[in-house]
Amino acid sequence: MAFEFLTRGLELTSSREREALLYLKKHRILDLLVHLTSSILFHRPDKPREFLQDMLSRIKIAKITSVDFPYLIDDSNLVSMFEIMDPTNQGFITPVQYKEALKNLGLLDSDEVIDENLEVITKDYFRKDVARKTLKMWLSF
Amino acid sequence: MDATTAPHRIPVEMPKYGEQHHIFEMMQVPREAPPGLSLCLDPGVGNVAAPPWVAWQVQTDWSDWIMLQELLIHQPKEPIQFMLEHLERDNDMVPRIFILGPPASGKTTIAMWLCKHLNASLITLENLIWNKLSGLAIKALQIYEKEEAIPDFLLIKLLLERMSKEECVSKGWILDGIPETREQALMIQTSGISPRHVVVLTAPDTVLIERNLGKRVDPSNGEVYHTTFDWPSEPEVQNRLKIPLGISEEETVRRLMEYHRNITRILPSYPKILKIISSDQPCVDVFYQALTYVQSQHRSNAPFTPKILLCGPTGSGKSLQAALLAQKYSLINVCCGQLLKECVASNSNIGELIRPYFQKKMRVPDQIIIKVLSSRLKKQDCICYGWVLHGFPQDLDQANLLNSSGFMPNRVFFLNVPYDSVIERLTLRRTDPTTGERYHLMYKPPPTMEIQERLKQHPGDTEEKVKIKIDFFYRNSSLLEDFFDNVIYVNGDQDPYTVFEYIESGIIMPLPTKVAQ
Repeated sequence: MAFEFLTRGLELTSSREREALLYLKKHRILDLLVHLTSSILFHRPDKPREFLQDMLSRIKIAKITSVDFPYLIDDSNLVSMFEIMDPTNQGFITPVQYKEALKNLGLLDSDEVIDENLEVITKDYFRKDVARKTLKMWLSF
Repeated sequence: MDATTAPHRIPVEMPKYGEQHHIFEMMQVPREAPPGLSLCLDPGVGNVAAPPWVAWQVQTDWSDWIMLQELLIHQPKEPIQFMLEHLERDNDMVPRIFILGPPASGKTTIAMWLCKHLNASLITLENLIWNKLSGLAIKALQIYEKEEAIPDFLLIKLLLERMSKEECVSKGWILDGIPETREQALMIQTSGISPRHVVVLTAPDTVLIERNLGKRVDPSNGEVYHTTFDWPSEPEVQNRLKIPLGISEEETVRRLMEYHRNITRILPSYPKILKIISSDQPCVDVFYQALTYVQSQHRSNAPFTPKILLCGPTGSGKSLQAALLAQKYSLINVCCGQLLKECVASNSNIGELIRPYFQKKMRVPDQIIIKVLSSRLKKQDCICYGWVLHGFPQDLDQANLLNSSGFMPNRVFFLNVPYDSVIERLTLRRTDPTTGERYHLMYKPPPTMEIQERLKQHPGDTEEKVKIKIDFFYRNSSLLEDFFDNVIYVNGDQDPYTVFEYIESGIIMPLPTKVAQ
């Protein structure tokens, strides 16, 4: 998501630059940096460098074991998010709202299409889908 | 979330924390960002819009990365491991300087002085080749001794080898006289070596030819001296000095021609980091200019809310400058005296507390002032747009109070104006009681004699009163100067727009990095 936005204005003039862009895209460096910065600003540690190193080591280990990624938004936050979008407690949200939520979380790739035919997105579906997408993104870092 | 872009409240700690720890420079985040995923904190406009969890986007200015730059240059297979190692090294701020210039411009002298001052390692062609420990260097030495030019690829390999050594990585490096041609410059760039500052010395050719005739070299440590401009004081050094080869007029002319051919094609490779310094001045001046430049950081796109403090004696122009700044950058002009008067006039509770002090012409106690000031500075517009404060603090106690309330400025300016100028500016002020127009007998005289007859002076503008206020300021100024770090001194004795430009440049440029001694 970050990648598409940031590289839209660029004119690629050389093969080295194109290589570099491909590298960024493949390893999703920009998304990783966005998450790291969000974590730093949220936690506001006294020693930012050490905090960053800590987070990176955790990611490194988590990649191998495939559990325990240092998520910023966890399940309870997702539940709160859903409840904000659904103030009257109908039990579901519209696809438009869902799409915006994914955009805000940075999980929506521009080429991914949300199935507009789904009339309602329930809380469980929301949580499961976001969790799945988040895991997929972290695994690719 | 609904598809709205209503601004959300961001805790003021976040931008403050970000600025303090240089998070933005470290991660290179931009001002603009896409809707729905960003924090817009444009210092000019100050529109704060963000999602409840702040997600920052990384910018696309290719010339300005640090960690990301390294990633792109090396493109490691394991980016996370690479980033861990990069953070471990913590060498973002070490000097990385190129010094270029024609022969006899003083490159070696400046390079050596900078090295001593910044504690970095010096790299020249000579010390690359005279390295007995490297196989590449021995090969290069053989070619050099045959009086042939060293091939570019060999030079680059030597450079890479030298720069990967521990001392260059951790303390930084200063490159003297390399690259000499455009091909070398391009090869250096593609191999991933990029300087943060490039200093180019210039001087007219005639000066250089003359100067070169007086060049002398100390063979024991390679230091360069001059018979007229830079003669060593110790007699042992004087006796040691030798005349180097190749300083005759014809030789210098030939080298100068080659230099001029090459330099115009090298300079465009370093567009934003170049500084040209004239070396046709005393060496100390050249050194001072070079040092200030390499200690300055380049403008980054990091978000920055200006929190400016203007200090100076009465009559130095603080209110005027504050008004100009507020107008140009949409900052909030916070004048302490004005604020207190507004409180009294609005008949609020605080105003009732302050009124007796005004009536008795006594100083309002610090606690009340800080209360009024905090409530103003905490307001949403001050946090968004930034502020310019003047008239407070006036002494060390007030400064400590300001600090403990959490409102430390990030730029502090002291306006220096000599006593006579202040007297001239203030004692010649007059007001016309009929129209309310303000005049100055020297800078803005009244147009007709009729108006001049009826002008009156404010009782606070008499010389005695002004003198008391100035003395009060100077009694406390040195303590205040010590209290704040990185104070910028401005010569206030000039016309307002010059002073304004100077203050502007102080705000826009990042504060100079302190050199680790």
